[in-house]
Amino acid sequence: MDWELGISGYIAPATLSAAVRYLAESSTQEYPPLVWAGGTDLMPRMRMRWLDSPEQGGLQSLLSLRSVSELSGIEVVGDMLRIGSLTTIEEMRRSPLISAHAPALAIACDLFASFQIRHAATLGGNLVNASPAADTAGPLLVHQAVVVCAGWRDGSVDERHIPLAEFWLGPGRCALAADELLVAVELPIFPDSGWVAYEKHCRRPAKDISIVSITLAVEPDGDGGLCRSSLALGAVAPTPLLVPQVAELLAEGGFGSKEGHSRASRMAAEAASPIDDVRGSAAHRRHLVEVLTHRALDGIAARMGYSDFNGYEPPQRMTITQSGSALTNCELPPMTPQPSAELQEGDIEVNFTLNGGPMRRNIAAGATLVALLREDENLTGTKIACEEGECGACSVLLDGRAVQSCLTLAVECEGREVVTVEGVYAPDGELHDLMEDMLIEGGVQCGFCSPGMVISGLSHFLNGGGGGEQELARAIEGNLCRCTGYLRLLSGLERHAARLGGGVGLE
Amino acid sequence: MQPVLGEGSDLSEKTINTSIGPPASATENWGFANGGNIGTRIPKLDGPQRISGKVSYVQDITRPRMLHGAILRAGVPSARIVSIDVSAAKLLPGVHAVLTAEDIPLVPFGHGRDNTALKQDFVRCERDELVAVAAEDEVTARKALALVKIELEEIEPILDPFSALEPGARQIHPLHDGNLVLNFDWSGGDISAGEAVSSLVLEDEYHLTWVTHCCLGVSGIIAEFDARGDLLLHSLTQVPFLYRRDLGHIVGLAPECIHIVQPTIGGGFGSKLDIYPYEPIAVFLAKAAGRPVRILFNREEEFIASPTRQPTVARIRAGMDDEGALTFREARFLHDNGGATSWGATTPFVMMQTISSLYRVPHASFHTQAVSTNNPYAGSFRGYGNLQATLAVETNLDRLAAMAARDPLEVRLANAQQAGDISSQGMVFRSCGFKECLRRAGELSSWEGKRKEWGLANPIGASGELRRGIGIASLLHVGGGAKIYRSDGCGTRLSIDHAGKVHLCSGSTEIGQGSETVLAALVADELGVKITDIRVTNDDTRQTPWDVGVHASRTSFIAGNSALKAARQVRTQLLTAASEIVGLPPEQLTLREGGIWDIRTDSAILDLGKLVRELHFSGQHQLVEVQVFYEPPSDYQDERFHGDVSASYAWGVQVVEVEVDMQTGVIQPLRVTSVHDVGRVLNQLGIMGQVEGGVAMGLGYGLTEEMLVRGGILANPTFRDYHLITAPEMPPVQMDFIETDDPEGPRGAKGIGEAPAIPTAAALVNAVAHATGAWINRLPLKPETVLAALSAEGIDSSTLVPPPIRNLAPEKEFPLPVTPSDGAEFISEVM
Ligand SMILES: Cc1cc2nc3c(=O)[nH]c(=O)nc-3n(C[C@H](O)[C@H](O)[C@H](O)COP(=O)(O)OP(=O)(O)OC[C@H]3O[C@@H](n4cnc5c(N)ncnc54)[C@H](O)[C@@H]3O)c2cc1C
Ligand code: FES
Ligand code: FES
Repeated sequence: MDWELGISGYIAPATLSAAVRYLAESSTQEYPPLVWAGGTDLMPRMRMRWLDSPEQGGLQSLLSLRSVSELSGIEVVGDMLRIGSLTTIEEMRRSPLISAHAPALAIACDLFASFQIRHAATLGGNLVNASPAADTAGPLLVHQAVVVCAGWRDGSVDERHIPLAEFWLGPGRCALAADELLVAVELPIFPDSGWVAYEKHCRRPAKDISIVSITLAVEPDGDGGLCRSSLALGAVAPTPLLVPQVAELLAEGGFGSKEGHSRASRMAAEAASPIDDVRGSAAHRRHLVEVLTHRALDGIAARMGYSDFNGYEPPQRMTITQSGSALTNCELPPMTPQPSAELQEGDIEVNFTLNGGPMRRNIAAGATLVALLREDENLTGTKIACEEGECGACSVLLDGRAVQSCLTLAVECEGREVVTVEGVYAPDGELHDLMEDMLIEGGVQCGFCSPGMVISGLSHFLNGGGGGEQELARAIEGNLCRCTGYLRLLSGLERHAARLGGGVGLE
Repeated sequence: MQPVLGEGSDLSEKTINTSIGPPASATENWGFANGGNIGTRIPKLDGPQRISGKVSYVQDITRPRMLHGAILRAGVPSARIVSIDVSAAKLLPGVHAVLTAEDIPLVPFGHGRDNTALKQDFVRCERDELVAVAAEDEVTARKALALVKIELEEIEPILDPFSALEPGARQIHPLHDGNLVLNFDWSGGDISAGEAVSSLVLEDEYHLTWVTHCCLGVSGIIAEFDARGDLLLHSLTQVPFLYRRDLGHIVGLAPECIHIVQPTIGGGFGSKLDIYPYEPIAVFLAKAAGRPVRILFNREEEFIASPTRQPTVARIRAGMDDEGALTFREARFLHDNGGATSWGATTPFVMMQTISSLYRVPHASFHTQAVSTNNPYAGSFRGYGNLQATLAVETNLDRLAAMAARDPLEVRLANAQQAGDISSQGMVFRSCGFKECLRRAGELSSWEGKRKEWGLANPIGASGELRRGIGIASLLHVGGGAKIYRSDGCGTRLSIDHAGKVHLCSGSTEIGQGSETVLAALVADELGVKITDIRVTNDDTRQTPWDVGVHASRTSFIAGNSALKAARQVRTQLLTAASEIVGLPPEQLTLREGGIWDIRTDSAILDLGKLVRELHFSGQHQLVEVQVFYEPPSDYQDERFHGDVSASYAWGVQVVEVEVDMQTGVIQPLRVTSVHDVGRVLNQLGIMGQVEGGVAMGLGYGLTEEMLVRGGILANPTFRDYHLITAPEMPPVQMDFIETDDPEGPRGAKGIGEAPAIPTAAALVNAVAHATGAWINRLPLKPETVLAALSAEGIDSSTLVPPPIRNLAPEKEFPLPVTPSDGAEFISEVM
């Protein structure tokens, strides 16, 4: 590791009040604490910052949200759906409640990065990070979400509600005060009769940051008209963008006619104010907004039975649905609750299970899991090939879910179970069945990606994954391989799925 | 929670393989293969260690007292170095050595002898190495670099080869003649005679940009001196013996004082053919610090400071007569050579083979200039120039076919080389399955039907936004080595120990391509032993005999022939000795299942170990050990690039099927068909992996990969923004192999390593043209590029008739060859 996340202190409070109190007490410092959720945005950002100016490290303390129980959970309260800010994207992706009551969000979570990222990334992090391309943003906007924030005022926790449409102020900036935490997101239950359309337009199906994204929600009034519609655009303005003009136009009879849809699409394109960057030019983005808005409108109108659009099905990767994703029959098994930690400075004692045995060490709060594994434990089967969460070579199982150890802080594994490729073998100590299956199908060439592939494959099967072609390909979409072209690996996974038929274990 | 095998899962669809049998278990495949291992599915011999993370790559190796090196790079493309102040870095605790150009001998190296380990006076590209440190750990090394103060006086960079060649342009490197670094000129026949009989002539220009290897294992090296003063290097080089000589020259050591150990290599693809500055830097740091030093890149550094594919502007003009026969081809390529000259500058050597010899072209010429700029510099990359040349030739040919209203497959069949042909460059095609490849690819892909049913005239979907297209492209590549050094040979040492176990020591390197497995299989079949009873040593110059290196798809062919030759000698030695012991004539004996068998009674009569022990200890006092050197029967090309450079030539054809969204420009590859003349399939699994991996790389070149070099600076040095193909994007690949049983190949085989990556992008461009009516002359085919091409041709989703074909070349003057060819010099230089 050629960088360090210099951190002066570490605290993992057990309650929201302890957390916001600590924030309030320390937020006036020159270097306020770093609030840490999944770390998938923070870790690459901190790394780039350190590599640019290494003298900056060591000035901030780190506030881990890992043990704050008030921040997790997905529940229905009255006619509202409430999602805790610490909920991970994968948990949302598989939640029957989200699928049923916030279908656009369910699809967006399905098309969010890779398993490894989804297992770590949180809803709160996605919103507070305030990227105009954040994938949950558009869906939450059309679902009329409100953000619940909490601060410490006059000796107690003080909550305030901010409509999501007012939450973002610019790229990387949001309305959350420095001493506040994002607690949850609340949204009205989406009617069963409503339709959503969503497309994340990017090079690869899910892995990339979107070039543009579009979310459209339509609530029919039951008489062939609309009672509400809402269009949100991503990556075309300084913040995720609601386009109320389009909703007005549709409400005034624009919906359901080719003419109306064309006008609405042009209006959407005009509302966008995109920039040129490495992912696409402004003109291309504006063009895409127009094309995709048109397709979303046409697609929903077709489903609602408008005769002008009979049989129309939008091409490529646009999803149109009433009921979210179909993944909800396999909710993730819960993670082990983690103990809280008092504020500590200097090296921190961390305890977790590593490949079945206890692991105890004193380490820097900023040490990554991959550094601990490779440098301290000499478990070099876990590879580093990017340190930005893109390649998957560093994947390990954390409580049975694949995560990237280059994005994971070692201290954040406290109380959990970590399995590296060295912990994956057959009962007789020989090659694990999955490895044998991948090998027999020719899935190994230089082998640098192989341990990560094994971990992703295991995570897939351990968490209810099946053997369909697309499903298997998505199981390893977070893993790059330069040698094989993936097809031998997929055959190996397919072979393993066939072998399993029933249950699967690590040994 | 029950993992279920998806009903109707059609993964098998993904890799339909018409000539390949079902898999067995690894252990089964590694047993005694009495029918022979060769031609079956042989799982990678060292696969278990690799897949379970037990092998050590350079990043996994530490040496006692090892220090960590790091390099400070210029970060600007062009500047005069005013001053470098390293005093603060030297004072940082934990720092053991800090070096600038002042501190080391500046021996020039690289193909153009225009590079040095650290740079003095001038910065010529972003990656240029200015300062190196060695420290107790990597973090300290980086911190030390941050303390270095550098004053640079920036100079207006030269960013494209056209402006570099303009009269009066600033000369980037004093060593060269202006900014022209190398030029290659070849011609065969008389272009004007060809023009005279042409009924169609078409001139195109293609713009091909930088892409890079992206080996998952980043570059690294460990340098240390032993007590005797010899240098031990853990190095990723794929040419250990030439490397030893060249590196020795740079650091001032005799080759025999350099001991190279190659760790497991995390991907090569040609990137390890050159010496790069970080390697001598590690040696100088180790010397200065008196301790082992490891330099390991991070990913950004790997993107910025490793080789790239040569960016090329390719101009091609060709003609066709009334019968659909090619009449002439004239090609002029301009290469952006960047800030230094590595081996990548010699890619025209391979490019011209495709220009001159893939098809029968009666009159052809090829001129290339490699020009200095302040951009990144290229190196060798799988295909070695052939991807660029094939793209130009194969799309230009399709366009000629379209002008002549002929079917692209028919046109290729009509012009294809055949066995027995001798090309205008003097390449002799002893075996050639090109036409069979074309026919088979056509059959497998249902070419005829799709050519008719798809295309611009046939919109798909309710509102017709989509089109489908099918395109084809072929390839010719060396398949039996390439004699560009005095020797293209490889040595083998083969012995059998007293337990009957086989030790195979080969000069060739394993870089993940599976050569170790193929070599062991060839030997196992000759000696009748289990493939797992063979230990292969191929990673240590103190033990392995000489080899020229892993490149030019040569390893299976050359190292295979070498191993086979050794195994045959050992076989004779064993049978002769056994015949004396058991008193039967040698013809009546054979080697089988780890012993000597009597052919007549079909029974084992002597255990191999026992036989060897007998030879050791009884009267004979003999070891069973041979050493051989195999030199292929190929020729050196003369200064006119004429000669039979390879012992065998590989042919192949790919068909790519796509669906194009006419409104967003998104291209979805639907399926790839890949058919190759491989002489003979040695290892089914290995060859499938090579083909699929090559197709993925070719698709990346065609669709997604692009180094965005802006103002000389790489704008996307991360996997986030440099897009490799991922699993969900990979289309099904169906493949087949034409077995022409090459007379010189090991068991009839030819090399295949590079071939599958070569024609994919060209076939893709042709497929997109079939679908949309637009010919796109720059890669990658990003949606924006596709839309721009559609709108330039006035095509939208309601267009049904393709616009007429017109020249794709701008009016702009292309630089003419200025001096006689000096490209051939590179051959003599390495002698
Ligand atoms: C390889 C890769 C792929 C990615 N792909 C996608 C993608 O497809 N789509 C997408 O939208 N994003 C993507 N991201 C970005 C990132 O994963 C998401 O934004 C993620 O949701 C961030 O959540 P986190 O928990 O990891 O945030 P963290 O990194 O922990 O935090 C992000 C920011 O939010 C703050 N924060 C977090 N939680 C709270 C809270 N409860 N209260 C107050 N502040 C808080 C942190 O202080 C920090 O400033 C990707 C990232 C990587 C590395
Ligand atoms: S994802 Fe961790 S090293 Fe690439
Ligand atoms: S086998 Fe080399 S990267 Fe996957």
